[in-house]
Amino acid sequence: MSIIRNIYSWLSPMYGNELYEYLKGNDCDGVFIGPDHFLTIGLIMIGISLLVFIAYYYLINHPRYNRWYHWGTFLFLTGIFNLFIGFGYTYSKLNGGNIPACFTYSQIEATDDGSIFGVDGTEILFNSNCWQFGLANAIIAIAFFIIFTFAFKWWSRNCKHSPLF
Amino acid sequence: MKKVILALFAFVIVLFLTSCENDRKKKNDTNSPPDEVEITPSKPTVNVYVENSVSMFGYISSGNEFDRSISSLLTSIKVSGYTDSINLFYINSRTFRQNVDISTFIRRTNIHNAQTWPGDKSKTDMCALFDTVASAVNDSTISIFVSDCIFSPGKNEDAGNYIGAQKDKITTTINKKLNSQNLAFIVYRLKSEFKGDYFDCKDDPTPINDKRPYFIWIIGTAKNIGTFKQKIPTSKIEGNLQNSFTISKNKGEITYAIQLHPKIGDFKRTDSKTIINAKKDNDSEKFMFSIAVDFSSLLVDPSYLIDSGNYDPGNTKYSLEIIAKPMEKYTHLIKVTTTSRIISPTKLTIKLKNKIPDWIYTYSDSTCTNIKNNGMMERTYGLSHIVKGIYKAFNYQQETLSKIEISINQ
Repeated sequence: MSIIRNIYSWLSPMYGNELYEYLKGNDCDGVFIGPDHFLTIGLIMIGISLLVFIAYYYLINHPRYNRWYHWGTFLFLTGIFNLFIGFGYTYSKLNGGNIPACFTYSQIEATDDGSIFGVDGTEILFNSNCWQFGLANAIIAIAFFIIFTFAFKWWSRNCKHSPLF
Repeated sequence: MKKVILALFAFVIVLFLTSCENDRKKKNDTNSPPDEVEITPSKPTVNVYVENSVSMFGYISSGNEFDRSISSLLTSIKVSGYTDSINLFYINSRTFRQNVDISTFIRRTNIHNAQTWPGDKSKTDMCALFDTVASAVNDSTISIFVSDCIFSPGKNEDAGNYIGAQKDKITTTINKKLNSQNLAFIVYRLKSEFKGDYFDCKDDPTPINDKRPYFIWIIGTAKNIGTFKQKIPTSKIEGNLQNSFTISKNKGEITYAIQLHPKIGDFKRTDSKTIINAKKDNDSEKFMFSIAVDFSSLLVDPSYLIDSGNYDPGNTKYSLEIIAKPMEKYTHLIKVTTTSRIISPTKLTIKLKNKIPDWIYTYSDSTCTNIKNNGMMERTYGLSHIVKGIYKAFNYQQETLSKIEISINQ
């Protein structure tokens, strides 16, 4: 499933290299130790995109809702859902203290027993990074929704011409 | 038809997404574990030899730094649990065991007693001394040798030839011992008040009252020396410890990993040894990244490891700064910096050189210069010959102790 990780890596400049490495499942040395958070978030993101797609084209599937802006509304909903999921997931990890200090601080020190801690005032990961990751998640979800649309809309009875063709 | 084309188009996009591999494959994610110096289960016996030739008398006055250093070293050895048995000797042309405790041994090391010590105290055969103290070493015994390490060839000898010959003799003697045992040597250079006659290479005395260097050698098997360095760090030796150097057959495998911070500019790490998308910082026009390294498997002195002159960055465009920073499984942080205009794809091979440290040459005299000359009070006649003699005995095949390989933008 490295494809999901690769897709998220394209947008890593948006939310930060440190958060990218953590979500990838790396330790402070860049060695994969798991879990691969991108897999979890990615599957949720694809699932939501697919559900919204199915809801629009095959469950609602109504002639009154087959204009492009109706499709756009569902596209927007996909983005919003995934924005909050991306934000919520990373926010809980960051504020739950699950992310190692080497990813959250630019300056780290070690205690006598060798364990590391971040130096106050050198934080590099903030809640804003979580929002930025949420935005990246939304963008990728929107891309998936568009792909699902043009791949699978043709069997919809009433909405197959929405948004185009 | 249009539907089919659009469906195909959508699948092509999906295929494109699944085929693009932005991340490179991990080349070597798992670092090989360090060859740690094994802890000897049984405690070794420590034999302490204090040279008592006439040239040492100047150091021997109760309560000076010489006494303080030896006392603190021996006490640390005792209280650290490194040994249960310390045997104390004076050594000149013969060895004399002193069946006393440490404090009495130190107290008796004074000029009054020194003048009554037996044996030939008039000259120093450094090779013979090293032969004696190294011969006592085995898997369960280490030797500590305290000496001013000044050759005294005598009036009728050509001093230059003598120390050259002594160096070769030391090499042969130690090499013979290395064939049967994996020995390691630590040399500490210390300073203490010296009040008395300094004997030059012609054995001519010059009265001085100044600070003079002397040396403590720790000789043992690599295992025992490894444990010694762990249990008795240099910080435990009080007095005036100036320099240290360890000579051993090091295994060159170390663990290391690129760290995300500290850095200047930006980069992405695809594994612990590979950097991509390296970019300079626009303001400082620099690119810097850090490598965490575990040098604990090497029997190398801390001061040697933090001297960037002992490293070859492998590329003239890069410079190194080494910081001793114990963190989780690492001991040091190496900052690698370049101001090069373009960060071109390169495989950077940083080598830790295997060489005699500069201080040995700085504080050595091989021309029998007058002790009153400027800077000579810091120097020891023939020091570099002793160290080179021992170093050569190890017959090193490679010029590097270990290597760090980093791929940049490749």
